[in-house]
Amino acid sequence: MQAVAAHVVLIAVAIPFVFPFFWLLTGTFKPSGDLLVVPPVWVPAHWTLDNLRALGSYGDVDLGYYARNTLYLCAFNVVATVASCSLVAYGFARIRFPGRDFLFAILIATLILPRWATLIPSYMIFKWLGWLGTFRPLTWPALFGDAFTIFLIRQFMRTIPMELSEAAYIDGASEWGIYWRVILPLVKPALAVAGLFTFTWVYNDFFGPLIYLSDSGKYTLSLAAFQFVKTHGAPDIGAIVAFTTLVTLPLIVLFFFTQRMLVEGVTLTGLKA
Amino acid sequence: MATAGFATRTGQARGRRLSPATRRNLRNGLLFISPWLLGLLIFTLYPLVMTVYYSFTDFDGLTFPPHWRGLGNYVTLFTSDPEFWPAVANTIWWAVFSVPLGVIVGVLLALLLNLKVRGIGVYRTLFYMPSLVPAVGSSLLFLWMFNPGGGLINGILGALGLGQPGWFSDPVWAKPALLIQSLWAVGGGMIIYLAGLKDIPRELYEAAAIDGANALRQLRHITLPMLTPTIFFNLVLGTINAFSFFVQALVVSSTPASLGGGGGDGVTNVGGPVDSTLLYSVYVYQQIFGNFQFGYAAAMSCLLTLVVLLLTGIIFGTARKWVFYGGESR
Repeated sequence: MQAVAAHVVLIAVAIPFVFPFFWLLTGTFKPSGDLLVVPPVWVPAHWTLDNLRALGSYGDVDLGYYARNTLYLCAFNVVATVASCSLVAYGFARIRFPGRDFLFAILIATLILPRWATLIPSYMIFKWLGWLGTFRPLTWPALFGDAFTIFLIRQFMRTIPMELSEAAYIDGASEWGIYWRVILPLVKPALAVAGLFTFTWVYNDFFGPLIYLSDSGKYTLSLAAFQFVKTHGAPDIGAIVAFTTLVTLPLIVLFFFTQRMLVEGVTLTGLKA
Repeated sequence: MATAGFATRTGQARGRRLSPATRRNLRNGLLFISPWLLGLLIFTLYPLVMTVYYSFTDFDGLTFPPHWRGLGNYVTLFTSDPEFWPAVANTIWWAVFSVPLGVIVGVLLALLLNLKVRGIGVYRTLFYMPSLVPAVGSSLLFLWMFNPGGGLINGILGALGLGQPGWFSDPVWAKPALLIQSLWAVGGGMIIYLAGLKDIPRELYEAAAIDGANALRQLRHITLPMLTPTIFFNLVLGTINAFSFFVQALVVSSTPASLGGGGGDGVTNVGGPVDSTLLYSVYVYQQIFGNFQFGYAAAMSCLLTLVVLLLTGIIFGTARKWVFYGGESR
């Protein structure tokens, strides 16, 4: 009886969270004339691909490019972030050196800096380098690591007993050898979580592409959707709903394949994806 | 700058007295963290110093050296900028509503998900999913649902005989609409609270039950106190994020009115309708990329940074009074 009551409450609460997904998915396949009408059309009278076709037919929309650009940024950042952050995390987690704790406190302090604190001079640096309008402001910084990810990987590395490193050292392994052959294989799950987080962050990022990319051929999915909506109005609602689905769906699909890892990662670090 | 210097100086000055092992560790440690150290210098410390410098100048991003204005930018901000105080007020409104509501709804959902019933994992997935929707995707979805000209929400409100506001295109309702949109994505925080709940030892509840404490008293005297470290963590992050809140406000205010948005152009005309979504960050963005007032925007950035640091400090300062650390071994 109590279980039934619990399910009733849970289902009632779940509706507002789930319904927008239902609305978006069905809307994508409704005739565009049914998308902004009163009373609402709850289920498509007939299912149609017209909205997706409409979106593809705009001369200034190239979905293939947007998808490719987004994937490129995600892939570069995942590889670069995992590589750089695992190195830095190793230094902080596994080597005891003078000044380490002080530097780590600085790293934590940078987490609370708002992005505006450093934005204008960073923008000027990229401008000076002639990088505005290229992908580089969105990729190269990943080579220097990211404080959240460093923290995440460090937490994992700290759980490995120091005796393991000491034994390897006595066997003649160098610090690099211990990092590469002993520690990295043990923190593979953490690296996977870090890579997954980075992927979702970069995929979701709107601000970076907005300020650094100007040529529509370099747009990411999110930025392209924003620019599309900015220049179109209600008559194009079918294409807009289709675009919204295209922006949203990849991450939801990724989530279903990686759900356990993602939730465990969030839980372990207390960070939001 | 001082940081890197500190570590190196310590190493060099005491180099002779450091044992070979310590010296090796210092060298290896600095080598391993060198990517981050370089990044800290190039992308954090140097920009931080330059932001402060620019804030005392009149700078358009082109003319070097920037023209020195002293405190001029700050004086203009406080005394004669008609949009500064509205932007501050909007941001305070946003922080005051979005942060506590995010915590309360997040904790309530986590408590629900902590019930021991079959299939609870499915509900967890359903509550969590919206937090994965990209900001632009969620903004476009809500613009469509809240469209005053035939959107779903007003369709339902109309059928119920209730009022039908203009939501994102109405100065009074634009921020509440943004708030509803942000609460839809509350699942990210919820998952963290849920993890906090799972960490509470069962024995505490068993002991309380033996002492005759009912569910409500257990919630009040065990669950909530044990959850305060997690709440504290989310409160700090939530406050920082609230003051930097940007993307959703920019997107909804730059969408044409026929789509239910603020009708701005996304560069010089943002934060509409009638400045109702002109949050502080949106205004800084406009000053940089719309008006090319880099010095002025730098002054705004410095103020924001100061406020965020101050608030973080205050939250940390009060932590002693309400955050319960007894359950942790640290």
